[in-house]
Amino acid sequence: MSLFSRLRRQQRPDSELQRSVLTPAVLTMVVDGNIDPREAQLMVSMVMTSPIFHGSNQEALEALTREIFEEVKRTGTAGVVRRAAHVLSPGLRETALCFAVRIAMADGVLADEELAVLENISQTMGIDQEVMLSFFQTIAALQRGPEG
Amino acid sequence: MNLMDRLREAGRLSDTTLQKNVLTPAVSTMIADGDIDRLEHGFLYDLVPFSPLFAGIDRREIAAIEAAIVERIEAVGHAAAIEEAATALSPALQETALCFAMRVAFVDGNADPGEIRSLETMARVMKLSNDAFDGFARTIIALQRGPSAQQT
Repeated sequence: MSLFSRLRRQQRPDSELQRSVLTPAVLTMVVDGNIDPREAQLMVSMVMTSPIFHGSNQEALEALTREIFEEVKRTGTAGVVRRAAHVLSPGLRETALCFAVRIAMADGVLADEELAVLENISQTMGIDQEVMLSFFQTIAALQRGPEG
Repeated sequence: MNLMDRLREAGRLSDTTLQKNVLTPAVSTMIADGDIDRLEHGFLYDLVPFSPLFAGIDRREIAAIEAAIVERIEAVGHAAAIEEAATALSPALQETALCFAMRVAFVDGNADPGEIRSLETMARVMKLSNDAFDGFARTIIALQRGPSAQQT
C-alpha cells in the first residue's frame, strides 16, 4: 500500500488535537521566554511529516505556535500541559512528548532547562522515565552526525 | 561515466558512501513489496534534512543515492545489501540506519510483512537486543502516529 493511500485512510485531525500535540514542543522551544524564528521554522518542518498535521500549511502551523505561546504567557506552563494531557489519548501523549524531545535535541545539546521542562511534561502526561529514555535514545540516533 | 560520477569527480558533489550505507535499510524497506512509490521517495527526502548526516545534500543527490541503493539491492538481494551497508557503519550509525528504516516502515504506525523482514535483517546484523529494538520501534511509532490514535 502506498504512503498516499495510507494517509488518506487517516481521519482528518481537528485543531484542538493539533494544538494539544504541539503544546509540549512549543513549551520546550520557548523555555528561554522567546520564539526563535529559526526554531519555529524547524519545528513546523518537523511536524509537517506527521499524519496528525497532514494538510496543514506552514502559515497555519506558525500561527498555532504563536497561539500556544500566548496561552502559556496567559495561563502558565502547568495549565497548558494539563490541558493537553486531558485532551490527548495515552498514545498521542507519547507522540507529543516525542516532538518535544526532537525540538530539545535539534541543536545536538540538551540544556538543563529543556530537560526540566521535558521531565515536567512526562510526569503530567503519565509517561514513565524508562519510556522517555527510549525516546531520547531514538531521537539521538535519528539526529546523529557523521562522526557517530 | 554517468553524470553523477562526472560531477562527483569534478568536486561538485560530496562523497555520499556514508549516506548510502545509512539509507540502504530504509530503501530496502521502501521497496520491500517490489514497488518504488514516488511519494515514499518524497517521504525519504523529507526525513533526512533534519539529520546532520545529510546537511548540504540536496534532493537531486538523495535521488541519486536512492537509485544507487536500488541498483545494489537488485544485484545482490535485500539481505546482502543491508549486511554490507551495515558492516561498513559504526554501531552508532547502524542505529541511525535502523531508525530511518523504521520511519519508512511505520509511516502510518503499522508495518507490512516485507517491511518487518527488512527491519529484522538489520537488527540481526546489528546484533541488537529485543529491548533496544522495541525501544526504537516505540519511539518511531509514536512519531508517526496519526489522528486515529486519539480513538484508542
